[in-house]
Amino acid sequence: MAIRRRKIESLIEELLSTYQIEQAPVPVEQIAKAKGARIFYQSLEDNVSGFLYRDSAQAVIGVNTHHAPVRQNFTMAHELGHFLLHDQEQLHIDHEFRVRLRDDVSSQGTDEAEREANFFAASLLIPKRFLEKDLASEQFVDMFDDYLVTDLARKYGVSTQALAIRMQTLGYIQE
Amino acid sequence: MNNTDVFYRQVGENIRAKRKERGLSQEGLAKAIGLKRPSMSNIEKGRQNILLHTFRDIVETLGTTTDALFPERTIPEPQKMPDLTSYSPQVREFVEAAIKPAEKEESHGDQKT
Repeated sequence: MAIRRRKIESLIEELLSTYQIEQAPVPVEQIAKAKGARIFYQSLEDNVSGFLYRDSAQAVIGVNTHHAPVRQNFTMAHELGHFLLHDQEQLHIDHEFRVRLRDDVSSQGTDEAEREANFFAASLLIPKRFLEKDLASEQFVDMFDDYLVTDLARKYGVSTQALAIRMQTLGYIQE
Repeated sequence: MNNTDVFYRQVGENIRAKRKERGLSQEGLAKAIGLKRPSMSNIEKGRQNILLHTFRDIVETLGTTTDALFPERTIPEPQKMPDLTSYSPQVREFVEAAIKPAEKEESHGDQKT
């Protein structure tokens, strides 16, 4: 099944306008808090990136600060995605964020929530219209232009890989 | 609808009730705190999560207290801890430490850690 791209994109537009966010970096932590989640940071030497916990009294997003800041941003945005999009589990722990390279039918069902959370995270951290504005002056995007990609990634608080994937999703990179 | 939505809706309702009590229009209250009327309407309907400084301004303009505008606390149902046995001790500790503070609040500060 396809993920709910439209719904996620309009949810993000709503968040950006509600919190009057006009430019990168998007303050994910503030949004998460405004939405009622508490953020808990702890450093642990484990491949656990973070988790989302909720019960009737609280919602907590845990972030493993042992990982690089760009990964922490992505983790927080990913967990916020689960919080706003999925409301089944009391505790959801994420280990790493895999990019799907091939269509693997057998894993699609279980993956769907993860893919939605990943799409949410990428779309929130790198809002479409922010990127459009930033790239408006570029004739074409040279992926081997280290300065452009690195500077943009830094601006958005994401890894260069995450930025490249987002640019591909938005059609800036031809497959 | 989750708890947070309910919370903001109740805060909004309380603001609306207090505003009417004071004989203020949405427009009037909005103006007093530097917002546009549609924002005020969204806040009262709980569609827009109110910012802390806006809340403070509303409290002051309406001559009330934060407590009066907060929803009454409902006692949360006791929660079952999620089963963490399949995770490493580190991860277990991570999750347990993260979700503890709210439980401590509920016990009304009798315990010290």
